[in-house]
Amino acid sequence: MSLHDPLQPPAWAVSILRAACHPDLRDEIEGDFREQYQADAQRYGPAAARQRCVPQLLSVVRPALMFNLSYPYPMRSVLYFGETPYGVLFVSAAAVLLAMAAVPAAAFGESVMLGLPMSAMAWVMPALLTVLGILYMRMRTRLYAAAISRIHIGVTAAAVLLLAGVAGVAAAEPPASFREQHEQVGSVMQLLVLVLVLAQLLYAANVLLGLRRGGKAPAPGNGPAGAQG
Amino acid sequence: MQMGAFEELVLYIVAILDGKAYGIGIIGELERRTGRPAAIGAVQTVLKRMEGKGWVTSAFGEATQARGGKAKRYYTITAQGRHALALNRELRERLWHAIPTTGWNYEPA
Repeated sequence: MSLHDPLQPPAWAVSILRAACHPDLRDEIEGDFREQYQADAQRYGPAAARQRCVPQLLSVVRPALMFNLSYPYPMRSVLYFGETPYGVLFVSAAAVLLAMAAVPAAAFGESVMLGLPMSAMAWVMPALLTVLGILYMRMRTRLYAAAISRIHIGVTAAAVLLLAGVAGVAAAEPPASFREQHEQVGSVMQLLVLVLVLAQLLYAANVLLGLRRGGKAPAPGNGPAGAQG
Repeated sequence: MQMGAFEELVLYIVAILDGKAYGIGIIGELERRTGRPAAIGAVQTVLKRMEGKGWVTSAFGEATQARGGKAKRYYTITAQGRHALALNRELRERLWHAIPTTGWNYEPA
């Protein structure tokens, strides 16, 4: 017999919600979440309430509630890539981390990339993406142009994912074609690194131009009408 | 200060609920009056933002069993908030009256 009260949200959901919210907002939002869950459970049944609580849970994963940012702050969830494109960087970081975690460290052997052992690069790449994502969150209103930001984010995420993909495949179980075309694979990886470096220069230019001429990139939350404010 | 469409709706609901507006109460009233569902995170973010703009103030209220003993935070519209709503309404009225009547009643065959 289950001891779980069907009118109470699952413990895992409450834990995630509490972890996602800033301590100053936690109790208020948890109270709302519990009240909504109870209303849904009474109206639609416990199974439907469990399903409906997931989007509610995701809706609180946004910088304004996670960090209790003062106005102005982004209105959209960090997962609404249209308004907060830097969310792509966080998702890419998580994807690289998961992919690299799946490859045993020993599989990388003595391989080196940019002077660092490949096993270390598995941590450097997601860290780079995360740092960039945080930089975007902090500097979004000071950047020169949103278009440059989007290009930088797209190119950076794509280059890192491709690098991780090539490195992962090569390290895990290199197909015969990989071993035969060792040099070509190396060239592709060098090219991807070059693209990655150029993209970071683009970001630096965006920041410098923004500081020099004033930011033109629209502050997230002042975009198209909808769930914005 | 700019007012977004969702912000405007929530501010109307806070004004309508007249001192009894809190997270879930606002979501319920919004859905009842507009048919538009809203997520807790979206409403909470808008409320915090409007508080930062000085359009609403908040104070903690009672805790209930349904909320797991967590207190409600009640929001009240300020004079600044009422002024912002009035300005927004005026702007919409002006835009409505600026629509040319020619072709307005046109119906394709």
